[in-house]
Amino acid sequence: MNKLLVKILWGKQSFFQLALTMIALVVGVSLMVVTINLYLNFKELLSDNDAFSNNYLVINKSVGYLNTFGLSSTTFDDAEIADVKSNGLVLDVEGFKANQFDVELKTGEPINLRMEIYFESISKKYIDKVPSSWTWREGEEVVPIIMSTEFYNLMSFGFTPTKKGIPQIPKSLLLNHIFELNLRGAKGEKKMKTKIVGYSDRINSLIVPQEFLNWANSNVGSGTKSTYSRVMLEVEDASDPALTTFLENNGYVTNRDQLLSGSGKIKIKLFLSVLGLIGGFIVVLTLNTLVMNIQLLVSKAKAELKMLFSLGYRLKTLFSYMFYGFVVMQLIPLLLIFILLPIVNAGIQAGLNEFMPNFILQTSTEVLMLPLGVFALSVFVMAIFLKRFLRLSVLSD
Amino acid sequence: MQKIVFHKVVPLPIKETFSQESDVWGKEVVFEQGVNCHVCAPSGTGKTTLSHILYGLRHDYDGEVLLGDVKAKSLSPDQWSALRQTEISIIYQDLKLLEEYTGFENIQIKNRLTNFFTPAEIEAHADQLGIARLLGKPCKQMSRGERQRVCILRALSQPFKWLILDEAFSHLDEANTNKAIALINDIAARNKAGVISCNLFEDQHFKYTQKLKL
Repeated sequence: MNKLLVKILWGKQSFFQLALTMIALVVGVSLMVVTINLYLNFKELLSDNDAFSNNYLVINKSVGYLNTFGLSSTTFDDAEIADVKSNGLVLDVEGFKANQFDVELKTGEPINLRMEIYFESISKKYIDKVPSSWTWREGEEVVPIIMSTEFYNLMSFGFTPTKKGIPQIPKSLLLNHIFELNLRGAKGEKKMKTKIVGYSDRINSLIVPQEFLNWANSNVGSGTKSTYSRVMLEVEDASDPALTTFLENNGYVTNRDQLLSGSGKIKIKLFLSVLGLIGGFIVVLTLNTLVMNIQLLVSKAKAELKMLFSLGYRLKTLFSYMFYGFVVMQLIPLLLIFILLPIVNAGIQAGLNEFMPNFILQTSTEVLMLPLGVFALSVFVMAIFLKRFLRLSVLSD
Repeated sequence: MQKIVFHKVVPLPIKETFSQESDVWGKEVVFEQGVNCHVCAPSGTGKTTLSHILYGLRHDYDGEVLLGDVKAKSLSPDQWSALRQTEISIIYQDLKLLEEYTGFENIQIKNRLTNFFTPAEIEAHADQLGIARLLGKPCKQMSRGERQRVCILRALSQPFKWLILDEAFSHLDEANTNKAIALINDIAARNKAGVISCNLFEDQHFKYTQKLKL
């Protein structure tokens, strides 16, 4: 390396503007990286199957006076279900099967509470959290139940505080406690046991395995053909206005909140996209500023460049001495980004811990490739423009 | 490259005004390698233009300059750089030194291209020219004559076949001019090179075998 050449080409330069450009580059790229990383981390939450998901809806018919007097039914028949399925907005449909017999639950000593309850059943794919113990085969005495979190809340914060002698029981303690079960139907009576094996945020019901309900309906209950009073829909987007219109036109009722949470999700997506776009915009602007900086640095060294060229220095040599300088300077923001990223992520993690204690922010490798990509792009842009500016200033008269 | 041929060359800026009696402009001129040539050029006749055309810094002329068999206008910037490293050297009238840098650095920046001289040789030649003790000084602190001698030594710090002198001794007294001529003759002989010396008036600085009037 010709140190004298480095001194001549770079010695007179001021790096203030370039430093500002580099800071902008760090901000822009970091913003992009953090946003994309957040999006990737929340992708599951924002779209996939879980409690927050906006892809599942439970619908039922609204109850009118005719229902009260038994002149009309709120159940769905097969034709109606087929109609819902064929409208193009719904991916899949399934009716909740219900019990065709009476169910009495006894808590046993010391509280000794009895209550009439009901069971429903639906395929596993519609349930957000399915514990492995949620299975039943003929001959087994204990029936596992998945209980709605909402139902638990009603009991512990609505009902229990008003009843003397009934303690509030934590969710986890309630799990696997054995209750007595009394089934009475057209074909007789059966004593069994039951336990709560899990909670569902999505389905407001007491869900038992289909195998149990089929067996009990035909062996304890009447065994008639099932009708459905509630239907589960799997949809592309619950906040789709076309879906809302369809449901309204047919007189179907659904949980409004879920539609709202859908629009909340859209807001988060929009926020992340806007943030990412701003990051991208900063990066594009910065690359533009970088080009202007190169022009400035070349024009500041114009006299030296011309003289060196006239002494016999090749354009290629002058180019590489300036280019490698720029590349080294570009490495600084790249390093800064990789140093800053864990710090920013730790900050975000700390913020998330307040309301999502179990969420661990992951950094994917694809995201880490992004700064390298921007670095490669800016080096490429620099090479093209530096070559142009160099030729222009050296060969001009 | 054995010769440089000017074939009806007329620089565009003096296209209307150049003298028909000129030996160079619009005529056929051959500069042979190793031949000392004197170009006598009163002001305004295109003396600096001629040296810049020879050195490839200007291409704004009619006619053709042939370097050997190759048209000068067809050479790329990098091919010219190669010629300026090993074939043609120049002592500029306006010196073109890096004023902020020392005499030694100004010489080295040329010398580093081919490592023609060792630092010790640079010292020795500077001593011959009487500027050895000035080498560590920035050029802007030197007198015009001192700077001219730095420029001469810089031009000699490479292999060359042609050395173009554009009023190379204009700021030197006779004694210093003679020292410079002795050094140039010495190194040109070592390179088997000739000088093309452009001056305002006729001089006897070198043993000329070709004399031209612009």
